[in-house]
Amino acid sequence: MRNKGAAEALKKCLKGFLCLLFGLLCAFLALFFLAWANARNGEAALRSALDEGVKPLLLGGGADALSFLKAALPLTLLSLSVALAWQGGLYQLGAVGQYALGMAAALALNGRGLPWYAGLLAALAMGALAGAASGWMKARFCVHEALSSALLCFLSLYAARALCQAAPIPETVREYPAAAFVAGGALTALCFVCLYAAVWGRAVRLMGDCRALAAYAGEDTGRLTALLMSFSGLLAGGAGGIAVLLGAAEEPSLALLFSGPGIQSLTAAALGGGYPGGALVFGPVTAWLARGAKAMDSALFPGEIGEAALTVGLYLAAFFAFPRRKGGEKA
Amino acid sequence: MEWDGITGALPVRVKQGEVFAVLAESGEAADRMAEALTEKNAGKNARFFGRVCSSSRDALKQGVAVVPRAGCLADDFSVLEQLRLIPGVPWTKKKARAYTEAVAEAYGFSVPLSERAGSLPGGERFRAELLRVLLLDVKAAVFSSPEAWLTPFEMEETGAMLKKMAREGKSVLLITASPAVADLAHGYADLRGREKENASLSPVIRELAPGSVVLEARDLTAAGKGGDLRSVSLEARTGEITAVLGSAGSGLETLAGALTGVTPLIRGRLRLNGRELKNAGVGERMRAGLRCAPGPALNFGIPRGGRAVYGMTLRRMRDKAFQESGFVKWSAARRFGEEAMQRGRAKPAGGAFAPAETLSAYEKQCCCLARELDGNPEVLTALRPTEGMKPGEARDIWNRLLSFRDSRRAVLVLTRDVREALAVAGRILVLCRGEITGSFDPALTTEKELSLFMAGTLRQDREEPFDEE
Amino acid sequence: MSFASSAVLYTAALILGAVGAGFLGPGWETALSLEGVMLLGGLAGALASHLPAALSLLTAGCAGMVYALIFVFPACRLRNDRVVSAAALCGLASTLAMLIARQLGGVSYTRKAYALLLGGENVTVFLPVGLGLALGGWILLGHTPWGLRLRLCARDEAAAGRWGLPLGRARLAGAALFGFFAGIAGLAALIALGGGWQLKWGVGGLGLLSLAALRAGKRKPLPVLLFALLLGLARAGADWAAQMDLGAPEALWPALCFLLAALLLPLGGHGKSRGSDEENN
Repeated sequence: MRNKGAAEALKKCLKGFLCLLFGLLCAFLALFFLAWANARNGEAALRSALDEGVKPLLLGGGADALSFLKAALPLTLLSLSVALAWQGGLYQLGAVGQYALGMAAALALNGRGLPWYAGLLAALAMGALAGAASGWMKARFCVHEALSSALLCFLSLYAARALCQAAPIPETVREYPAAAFVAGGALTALCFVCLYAAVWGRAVRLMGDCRALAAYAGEDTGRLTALLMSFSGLLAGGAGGIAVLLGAAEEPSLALLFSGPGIQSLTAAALGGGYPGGALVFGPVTAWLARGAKAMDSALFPGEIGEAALTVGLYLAAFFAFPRRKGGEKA
Repeated sequence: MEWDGITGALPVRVKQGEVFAVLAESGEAADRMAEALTEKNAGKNARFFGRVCSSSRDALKQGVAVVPRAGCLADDFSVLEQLRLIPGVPWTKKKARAYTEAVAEAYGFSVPLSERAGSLPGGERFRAELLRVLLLDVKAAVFSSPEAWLTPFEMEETGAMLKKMAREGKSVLLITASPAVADLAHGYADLRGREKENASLSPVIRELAPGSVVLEARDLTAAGKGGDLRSVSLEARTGEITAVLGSAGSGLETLAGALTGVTPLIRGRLRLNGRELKNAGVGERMRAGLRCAPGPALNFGIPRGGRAVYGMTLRRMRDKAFQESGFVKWSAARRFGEEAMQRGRAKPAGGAFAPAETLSAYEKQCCCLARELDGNPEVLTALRPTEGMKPGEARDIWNRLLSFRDSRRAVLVLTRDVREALAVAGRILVLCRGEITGSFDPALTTEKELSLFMAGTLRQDREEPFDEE
Repeated sequence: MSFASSAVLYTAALILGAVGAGFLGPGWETALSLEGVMLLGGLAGALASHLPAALSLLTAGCAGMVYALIFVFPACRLRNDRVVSAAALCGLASTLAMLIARQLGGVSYTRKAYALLLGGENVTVFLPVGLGLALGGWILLGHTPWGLRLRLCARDEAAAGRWGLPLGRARLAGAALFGFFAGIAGLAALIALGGGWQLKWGVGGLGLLSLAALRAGKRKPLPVLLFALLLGLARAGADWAAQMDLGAPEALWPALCFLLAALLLPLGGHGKSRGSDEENN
């Protein structure tokens, strides 16, 4: 019986890969046309598109294993945060805002004579607070969490930027990679344990199945929503803190949203079918491709093509890989 | 209108100027048939005036209006607003109102035009749908499961209206699971198969004298999607099934929610064996012995994802037996689920570990009853317990409820079905527009009387009929 | 860049975005792609800014419409997760915009091109266009049979299907008008945001501000207009405050503007009715 569930999950993963593959195909076509516009020679264009475009896009991500892992860990945590909220039937579009807030908080406390975990704790707290806000709005005022979390995402991005402007980033950011990996692993484990082993997770998944049924089972759906969003925010904020510890932090800006971890984390979560397990698979894959895009010959092929491949994959995933919310099936 | 081999059975042909009925096995089957009429793939066998239609729109172009069980009017817009969309109806509100009222009057009924379609009670909603069909000026009309909207008394009126339509040269096809509806037609085709012989519920012998009052609700007032409740008072006695009858939109769902604890009470009191439960949460009420089978509105209380067996501990997730310091004891939950399903005679075709989404309505209800009746609670509230089931299945569910009653427990059934209520209940209350308008002894009342009360034409506590607030 | 001219531009962008999103109806999740459609439309309009103002506006609208027809329409029509596809559309629009801008070697535009004779640079063509289009959109949506049909299809797809209404056509028209309005709104937004703005920042959340105004105003024309005006003034105020150098970090001011929008959201009410933008499962 359990095998059936595993087969189902595998099928969803496969669907995600197919969506991504189609996105990559689109990217290849774009590369080919760009090369063709340059060279006006079909064969040369094909070779150039393959050698200087596709090859680095697909293989460039892993040039340096450690730096790849450094990029992949925060992104995976971020995707996990999106997928976790989805398990409770909630859209978490504000993850990158919380990530930026966490990053800003961790940067502000980095290297000021405080222990390494001070920044991480601050990041976790900031993320959880920002997440709780949109959860609370949903629970208290029935504001759809997609709208409130997206709006709060912009708020957090600007706030994070303001924080960085108020407390300038230190010249040298102190890195603690080992601690970061341990913390990342611990957060991932915590997420899975809470979701699949704890009663809380069972209630959350029931709520994702049908909100009214969760209320019938005696759960306080409002509190559950607020808690889930804040836990999801905690993961996202933690991802920001960990990015700082890894030395992979960048200055928070709106660019994070559309051409950075924002859209990438959503892609990874959606391609993974909205499952945390799927996010664990597709988080690193997405990070790999995003790094590959940067490794392309930038004079000829702009890195945006890699982003475009991911977003096309995401668009398709919305149709094929991501489960559409059930419910509303009224008698 | 021709319709061949819809279930591999006899072809159905509806002539001009005829009301024809197709009698299906169950409400679900009737719905499926109505859907199949206008579906791209399944509709190949249905021809309207010699042509196959692939959608409602397509059918409408052919001059056939199909009204499924869910109705065609959108819930969130007023009736008049939607009728103004029909070609031929004037666009300005005043003229449109006068025009539509005139058409309705010609058929001898009226519809509250400025109300939202979703807020109309069953009968009025059906008449609004009928008015739409009349205004569309079609050659033929198909109605699916009118019994879901209409009380038996209203059905007779509707039958007269449909026959008037037929006299004007229109064809009408009724797809239904209720023999009473089929009787309205000039002729009908019976597709019920072997379920036919024992389709009707025989009245239950009430050898037990009802005992003491277990559940006492006073002045319940609450707001909810199924219609608001206004000062509802009722009692449930041991050894008795109390039926609360109401049409669609009368507030049955809200009442169930208010009793379960999901819908917060604005006002009112709720006592179980003298214990005040007004402020108690869902879990506390359940532990006190006030259980609920939520029926089709909530997927019979079985989550769609996951396995049937885990649905058995759905409402006891936080019990000590199934968790230890916040962690689920999956094996205990599994063991308990299997045992409870065995005790409650819930045997899904796919076994206890079948994915919950593959279960039929009957199987889900069996599982739900097995869960809710486990531990011998004081009161069971069952909301629309047999909707969409075949007669044989429905009877089995009733037998389960009856044997629970026979163990000197109280059962509260909230239903839309007058006949079932008459057959099994020891006492019948009628809920109309969120108020209890009458209380009856089934032995001393008739289907027609109950229908009039359900439709709001009569009420007991006031002298004059047609009294509206 | 004066406060008044910024306020006019921001308000025009917000109100046009809100009216455009109104065409997609309360099955509104797809409207989250407003941010992306605005960006692409705005970019196209800005690329045509050397043409007469009317042509530039038309280009913006048409570009938005084309993008909406290619991508938003399937997302409305087919079975998918609308929030996820809308988010994808934002991302895709942003990457496309950056690609196009890079291929064309950058974009430059000035506010002068859109100035009306009357008030110099302060009164741009967006003031009459914004008000006129918003009014037209409102009449079209609220007071014609066609608009009613569109609203009905948007609000309750299943019922519209059973009704026999032309669901596909309504969706197509809704998506096209959404794109057109969003495109012009995007042009206003890009011009308001000023020359230093980078395309990778999208349109800076103005699309979401319009959606917030739409929700807070409960989709009623006058309240939506008022909330759009309020948020437009706030956003222009944020730019002004950032310029004034009041001692606080620059990015704080726009953040406050979003905080205001977030606080307005609950005004949209509980949305308990069926088929509304809140869930009902």
